[in-house]
Amino acid sequence: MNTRPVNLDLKTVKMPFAAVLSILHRITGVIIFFGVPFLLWLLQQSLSSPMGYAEVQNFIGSGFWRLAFFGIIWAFAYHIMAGIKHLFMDVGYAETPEGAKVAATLIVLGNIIVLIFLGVRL
Amino acid sequence: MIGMNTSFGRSGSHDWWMQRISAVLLLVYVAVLSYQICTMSDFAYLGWTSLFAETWMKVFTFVAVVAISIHAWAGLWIVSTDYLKAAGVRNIFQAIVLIICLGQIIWAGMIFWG
Repeated sequence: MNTRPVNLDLKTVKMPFAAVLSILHRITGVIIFFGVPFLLWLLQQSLSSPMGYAEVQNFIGSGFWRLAFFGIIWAFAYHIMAGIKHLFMDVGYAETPEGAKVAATLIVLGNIIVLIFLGVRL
Repeated sequence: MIGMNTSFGRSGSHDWWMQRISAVLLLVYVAVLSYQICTMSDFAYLGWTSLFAETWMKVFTFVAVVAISIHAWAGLWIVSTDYLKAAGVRNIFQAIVLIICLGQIIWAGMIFWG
């Protein structure tokens, strides 16, 4: 008889640290996908005329869209860092549980730095 | 026999390589763009437009949009096959992703050369 526990209900599975970071990589990927048309639109407007440039500055200067812009930039930063980890793992680094923990910690630390930088600069 | 099931490449490993190559290209683009923005002497309309008036920046940005479209297509294809179990819903989702990817490539071209 198969006595191995089977539990694939994600709502009840306690995800390890690295798994949370992994699913965040996916979530930020989806956010970026929907963010690219938004960024293209901002680029188009900002290059169109001095007035368009000022409009973009105003648009992402406050309120919801400022938060959305902030969120997309953060998603990029996170996705890139997690992606760099992926590339390192592709060539054989950080594949052990200990190594994965170190890499995950670096990503969290890197993200805190990015958040502080964005908070100050944007 | 098991049919070939990939997002757009000839094989799974082809997809895998496309995703990696586009990722590295985007990494370089983000680094270059960040550097340009951080060292911009005049971060206002004139400085901003003169950066994007350079041919290399136009081409690089356009290539980056192509790369992000390839990368997103491969990535969202994987995500959709993981979570969208109903074939109809999955196909519609993939079609929408494909249209957005192709559309934004054309759009990026129009921004610079339209």
